[in-house]
Amino acid sequence: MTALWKLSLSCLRVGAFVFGGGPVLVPLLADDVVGRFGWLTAEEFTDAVALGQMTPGPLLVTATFVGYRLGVEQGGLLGGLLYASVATVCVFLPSFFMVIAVSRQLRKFKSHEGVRRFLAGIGAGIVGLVAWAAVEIGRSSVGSPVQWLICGVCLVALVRYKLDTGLVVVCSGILGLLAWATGLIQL
Amino acid sequence: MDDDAKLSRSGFFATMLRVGATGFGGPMALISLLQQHLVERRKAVSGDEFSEGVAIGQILPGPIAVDAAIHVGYRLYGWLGAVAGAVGLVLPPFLIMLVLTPLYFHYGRVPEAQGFFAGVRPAVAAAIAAAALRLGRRGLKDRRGYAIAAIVFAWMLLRDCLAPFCEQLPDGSVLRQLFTCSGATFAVVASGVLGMLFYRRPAGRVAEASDSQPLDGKGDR
Repeated sequence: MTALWKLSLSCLRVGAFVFGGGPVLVPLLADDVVGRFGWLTAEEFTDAVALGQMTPGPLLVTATFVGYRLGVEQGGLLGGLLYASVATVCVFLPSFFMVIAVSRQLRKFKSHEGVRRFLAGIGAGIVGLVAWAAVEIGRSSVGSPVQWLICGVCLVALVRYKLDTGLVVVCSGILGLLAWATGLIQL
Repeated sequence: MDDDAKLSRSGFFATMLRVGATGFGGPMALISLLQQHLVERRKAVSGDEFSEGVAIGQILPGPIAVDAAIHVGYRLYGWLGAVAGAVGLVLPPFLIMLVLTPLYFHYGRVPEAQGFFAGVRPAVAAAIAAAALRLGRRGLKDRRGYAIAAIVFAWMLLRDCLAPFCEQLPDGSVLRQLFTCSGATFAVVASGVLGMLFYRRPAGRVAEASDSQPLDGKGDR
């Protein structure tokens, strides 16, 4: 029960602060899931983000993965379903109510001087935060030179050629499989 | 089918399910798919109203597309519409994730799967780095923006350096709790507070600058 409570609170907090959407989820969720409670290893968390990118829809369903993993440990398949559902609802709930609250008074909200400055600060701050998250994932999950090469190729494909994220992730997975089969990556 | 008739609530929900099930490829792809379905094909809302939803998504927490769908649903059908927008977009990926997660924990240790994920992980690092660049194009408008981003980045790195030391501390101690509370959420709130401090002086000029040159000098990065 306490695990479910911790999970809901974590997800509610993440949901309330993911300004800027999907990518900001990564550092916020990792804080609790990997750092504070150790529910997942850093590599499992990276894989969870990858699965979130391969599935359609928003990246926030990474929370579903975390919930399922924790729930299975607590109470088998049913526990997994319950925890996954709770995690997903909790991660979307804060923004749901915030959107409804602001929906009819966007102009007033946007032109409020304090709100504007606060949001401008956050818009800049999350750039540093997400950049740090990229470095962190690189440090924890990318080891061999071949992997760094793949990372560079992906970056060019995403930034220069603007290819779909899901497509790039799947393709580099296949590259990894080939590299493993030919012995370029040792596991 | 009923392209000319006004989109019904269940029709809206079905459209959301469809977008949720087919919206591959990151936030931008999802938003344009949503716009294609709601504005161009079904004409459920005007382009302006949809843009307002996107604007809400950009300033509030949560994925932009989901926020926009909640806004549009709420405007058209009230509370139930808002729920239909959120649930419709999230249900398909949620179900897919429910299938993929057990598969991952079952077969993730198979050597082939390990090879696959050894290739996937660098791509995730690259995707997050690309997302940082994309956010930077919108969020870094002047020197103050760069300063805030740099402070947050340095703060998180500093936390990494302190982590081995802080993990030695006893669980209940004040320092340990301070360390736990000073992570990413703190960084988001702190950057908002820094924004309130830094953007205080010439408000009018900043707003002007951000409107007239959003991509200034950064378009080619």
